[in-house]
Amino acid sequence: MKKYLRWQGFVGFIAVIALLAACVYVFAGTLIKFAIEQAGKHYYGAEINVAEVNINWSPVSMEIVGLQVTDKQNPNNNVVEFANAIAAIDLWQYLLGKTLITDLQVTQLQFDSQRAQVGEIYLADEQASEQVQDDQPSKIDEVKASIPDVKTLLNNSELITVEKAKALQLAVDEEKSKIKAIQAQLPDKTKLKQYEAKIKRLTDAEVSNIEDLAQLKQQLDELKAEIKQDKAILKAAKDQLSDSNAKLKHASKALKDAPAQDWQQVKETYQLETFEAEDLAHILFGESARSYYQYAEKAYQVLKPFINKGQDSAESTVESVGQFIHFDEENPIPDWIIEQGKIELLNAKGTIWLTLEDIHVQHWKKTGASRLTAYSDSFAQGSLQGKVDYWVAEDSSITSEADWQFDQLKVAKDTSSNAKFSLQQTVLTGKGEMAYQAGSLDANTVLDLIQPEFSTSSSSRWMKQVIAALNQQEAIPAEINLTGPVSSPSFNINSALDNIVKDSVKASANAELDKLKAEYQSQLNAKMADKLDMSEQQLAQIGDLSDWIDDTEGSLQKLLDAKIDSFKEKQKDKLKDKVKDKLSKFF
Amino acid sequence: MLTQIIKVFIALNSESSPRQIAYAIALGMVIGLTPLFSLHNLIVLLLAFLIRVHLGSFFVSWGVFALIGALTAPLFAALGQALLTENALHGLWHSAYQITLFKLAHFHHTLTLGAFIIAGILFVPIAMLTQVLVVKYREHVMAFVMKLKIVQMLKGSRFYQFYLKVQGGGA
Repeated sequence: MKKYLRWQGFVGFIAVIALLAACVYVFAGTLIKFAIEQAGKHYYGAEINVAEVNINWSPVSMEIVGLQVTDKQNPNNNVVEFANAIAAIDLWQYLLGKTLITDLQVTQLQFDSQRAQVGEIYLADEQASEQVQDDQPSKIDEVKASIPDVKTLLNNSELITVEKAKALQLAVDEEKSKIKAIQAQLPDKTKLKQYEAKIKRLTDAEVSNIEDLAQLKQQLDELKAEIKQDKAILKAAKDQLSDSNAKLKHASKALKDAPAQDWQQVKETYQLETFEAEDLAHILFGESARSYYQYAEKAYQVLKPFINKGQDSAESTVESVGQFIHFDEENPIPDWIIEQGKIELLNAKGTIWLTLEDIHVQHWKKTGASRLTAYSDSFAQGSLQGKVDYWVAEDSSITSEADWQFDQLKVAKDTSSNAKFSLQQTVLTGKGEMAYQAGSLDANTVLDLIQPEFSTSSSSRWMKQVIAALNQQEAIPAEINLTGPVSSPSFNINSALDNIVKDSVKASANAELDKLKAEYQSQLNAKMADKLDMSEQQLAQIGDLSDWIDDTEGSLQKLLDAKIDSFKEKQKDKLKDKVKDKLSKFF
Repeated sequence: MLTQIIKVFIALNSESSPRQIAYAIALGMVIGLTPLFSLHNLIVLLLAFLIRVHLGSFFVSWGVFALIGALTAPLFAALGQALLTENALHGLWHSAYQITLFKLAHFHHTLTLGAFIIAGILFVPIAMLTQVLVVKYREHVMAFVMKLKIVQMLKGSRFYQFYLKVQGGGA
């Protein structure tokens, strides 16, 4: 046995183990610090700084001091940083290949904080498109372009009111010239007197024989033909007047209806019913909602590598350093888990305390929800609290539920805004809830803006009216909904603000259109009234004339008949006298 | 490292058994190719110290194979991944996983398993090949090497003399 074994080698073995243990003891912190920084360089793609890493051996815990992770999209900022993090680790589970953090304490955690020096970027960010979205021109400018001012509105030469006023003017002029032309052909007073003289002459004429009667009849027929001709002219004049009257009435009605049609057209053109008010609401609430969402999204991006499994980027890591493959066991625990923890999250508006319970990403191994609770009693001079429960399924799909409430959060701009429309200050109170499943988000927050103060740099009278209307509100309720895929959810903001702005804009536009209508009508009515009155008077005169001619025509016929009857009676009397004379000669 | 190389050189040219050198190289290969902080390496290290193998050769082999291991780690990890995720072997791994020692040895780690299997497969061939090479060296090459000027210079160096004195032997 001695030939093969050297028992003194055991001492050497102990010495080597001791040397290795000493190296680990002395250099573990430095090695982990180096590993974190190198991981940042090779896998994350941007500079990661760690002030120091300390390993405590009894109980085993790791302390990371001064971690700063450069934001790949903005190297002037850190995507995340903290002053100190201490993780108490279960050594036995660690030796078995699992990371069980029994307690995690993080102080001064911050997202999107300013770096002292610009961080190095090693790999371009694949999500640079998000930055492009952030750099898009402000919605404020779009809204500025969308809300018309009164001048623009009235300078629009396609206004129906203007068109109809011109049409009425044209109709008046046309009808006037037609009436004038037919007026010239109507029988004048001289002609009427001639008629009367002729009739008198005929009435006084003596019919003593058949020749006289024939002559009278001829004269009457000539007079009747003359009157008939004038009658036709009078009928044409009557028709023309009636036609003109109808045309002018139609044009007048069209002008009266025009402002209403204009308002409809303006509404459609500028989408006053739906567009601008909604966008103003987006400016007010969307700005804050988007910033909070982006805040959450950045946190999600930091945590994403821990949640998603099997991605391409993870594959290269797997191949170079390997990974643990775990199998079913009687009492399974997740590959990594934070049993409990507390995080101090710093924000410009105040400090938020986060508590962690069973944070992991393998809920098929430990089915209870992972819970993250947030609370603060000094956030924006108000208070907030909320909790998020989530579950990650074996196919990496996440299900989550959350609710939150906030009270008396003061929102104020520390610098005066050059925005066309901005919320200067208000107090927010509200609550919300969120559900997330299979990549789809459905979040809802109901809030009140109490005593809001808005401002505008616009010189538009409308905008000033809107601001005045808004500033008079004691509270403006609003509802913010986020729905759709988590990477690009759609923001839907419903608010009483919409109605306030709509009413204000509508009232203002209506007033301007009514003013326009009154202006046109006051000018047109005067002209039109003259023309229409004159036409009606003319129509009446022509009617009277027509009646006189009808009467005269009838009288002439009667006169002729009377003359004939009179002549017949006279002839009868003559015959009677002759017969009497003859008979007296016999008796 | 220079000391270790000199030790190997001395061993090659001494009365040390070729087998001692060969197994030292093979054990060094196992510890070099596989991740250092593994349970099996504790045993390999203990064996290297307890069994009469040539320690100098062991440490040189460890260093050389650690470099090779760093380069081939992705291949080993891929092999380990393929084996651990192979459906046909799932029952085997599942049963083994219930044993704490299996997990403590990190055989459910892709790199550890892949490297250990490769090292295990290569152990006997490397040992035998090395043994043959040492014998052949001593038969055919050693005399020629000993005549080389550089070797003469090395043998005449103070360091070499000091080492022999400490070791209490000569080439």
